[in-house]
Amino acid sequence: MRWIYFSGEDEVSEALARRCVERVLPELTFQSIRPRQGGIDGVIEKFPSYLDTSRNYPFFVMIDLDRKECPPSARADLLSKHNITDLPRQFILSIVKRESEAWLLGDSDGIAEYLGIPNQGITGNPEELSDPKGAIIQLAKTSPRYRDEICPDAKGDAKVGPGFNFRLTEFVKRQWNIETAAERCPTLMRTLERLNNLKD
Amino acid sequence: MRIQKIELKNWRNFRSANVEIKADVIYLVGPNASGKSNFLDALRFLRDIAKPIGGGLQTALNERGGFSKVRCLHARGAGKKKGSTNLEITVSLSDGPDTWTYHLAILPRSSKSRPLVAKEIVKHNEEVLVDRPYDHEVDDEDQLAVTYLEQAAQNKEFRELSRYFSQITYVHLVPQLVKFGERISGHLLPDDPFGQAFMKRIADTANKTREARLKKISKALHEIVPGLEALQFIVDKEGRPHIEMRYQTHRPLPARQLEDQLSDGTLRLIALLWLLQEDHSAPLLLEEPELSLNEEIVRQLHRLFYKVGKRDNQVFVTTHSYALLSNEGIPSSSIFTIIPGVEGSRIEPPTEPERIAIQNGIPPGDVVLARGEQFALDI
Repeated sequence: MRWIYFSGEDEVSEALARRCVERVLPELTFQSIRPRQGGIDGVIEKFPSYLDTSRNYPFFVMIDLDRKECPPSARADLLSKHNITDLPRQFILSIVKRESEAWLLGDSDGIAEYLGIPNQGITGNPEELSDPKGAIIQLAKTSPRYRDEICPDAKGDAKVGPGFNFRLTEFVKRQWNIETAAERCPTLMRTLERLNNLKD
Repeated sequence: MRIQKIELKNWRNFRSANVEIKADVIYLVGPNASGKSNFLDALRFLRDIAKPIGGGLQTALNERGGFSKVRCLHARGAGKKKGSTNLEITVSLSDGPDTWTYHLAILPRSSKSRPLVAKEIVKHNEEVLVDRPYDHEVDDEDQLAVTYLEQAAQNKEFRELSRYFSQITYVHLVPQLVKFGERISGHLLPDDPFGQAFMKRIADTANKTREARLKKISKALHEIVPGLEALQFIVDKEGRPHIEMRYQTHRPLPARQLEDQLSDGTLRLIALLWLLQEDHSAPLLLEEPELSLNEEIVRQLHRLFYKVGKRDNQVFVTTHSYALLSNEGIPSSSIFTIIPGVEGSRIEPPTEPERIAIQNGIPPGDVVLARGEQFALDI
């Protein structure tokens, strides 16, 4: 049996990664690594161990670009932090522009249907959004089904609602159309291509 | 003496389990209700048979609600292959160059009669010391209702094995039972698994040892509990033992608190630090030691377990804690995952990719607690 490791920032990225691997490399078994310390710091801290592990089986890491300039410079920053010159072909570092939530918006019909809202006004270039999480929250404000879960409570100071990850993960697992999303999200398309290259 | 191998057949939710143990500290992980405690219970069961006071096969079964409660629901082959529905426990041990094997199979006779020994084998190195049932006891239910393990007259040649099993320690401290033990009163469970008589355990320790242990605990707690001056053992007017914590205050005399005023976490930590200092000539079994404790404390527990494992004997720990398994010094051989299934649970060492990840410095918790898809909890 062959495996592919995955480590990411949160459960939404893991759900997306599972869909990517299923789509391109269904013969591989998904082996997730979940850093105790979530978010990008958990991934960065253990990066050298991930690299060592990738000598045996392919390793797929997904992080958000966030406010950093562009994926190539974010990649260079990360590598220089650990004095790594280059990544082996078996190591796939996917830096999502700007946040993994952009890939969800890439399937605009799907997300509209899931939230129970009209799909007008959902951007066709979600990776150009500066705040994809915020964009989803804006959309969810009109969602009759999930507004209370996805949007933060006006009385509190949380950034997202209590069911944000839960609902988004559910959407990715059940409804998200990966082909449509890949057409609109260049970093997703590139990630799928690079996963596909592992076949050679 | 150390356990090398545990094999179970039809024991609680394991139709079959086969675990080779190489580490001194063993972590059992797995979802709720997968059978982590049930696995430990196989060792407690042997202890309950072997213990010199209140022990014995029938008592050990009765305390668990009878044979039908401990036999696996998924046991198969009733009436087909002889012995296929027997409950079996086999433990292999090593003691320096010496090896021991204890095998016990129990069969239900009829609903009316007691469960009986179907097989009892004791091996020391290559020598078979016991291989029951013997011809003369085949038709004697009274003889088959007891093990040799529990009988001093019969276990003379393997007394050290029997003693070893009887000294297995299991504590799953329930703070409320310690605090309100007096008021709950009444029934004290055999061997006090939940720490109801924990104060008595401390009281029964020799003075000097007790003082030394409490001193170490109070030193350890100093970092955690602000203002803590000392931890002392006292006996109240009614003769009841207590732990007293003294705190520095702005007043001339220190403030005092007895154990019933301590937080659950503090009490659990005191009990844990006490247990880890006891002498363990047989395994120490701990259930979810992370409960009520701050993550920073939990993160450091493996080091303490490891010391006991090296110094005394093996430590078996059930856990759900990322923090506990965050120690990169935990080898993959220390971890077993219990996987529930419709055919009963399975227990497995880390898979190949899990092992590789741990060997490359990824914290074991990040690896083994990440099995399967993240599930959705909803009501």
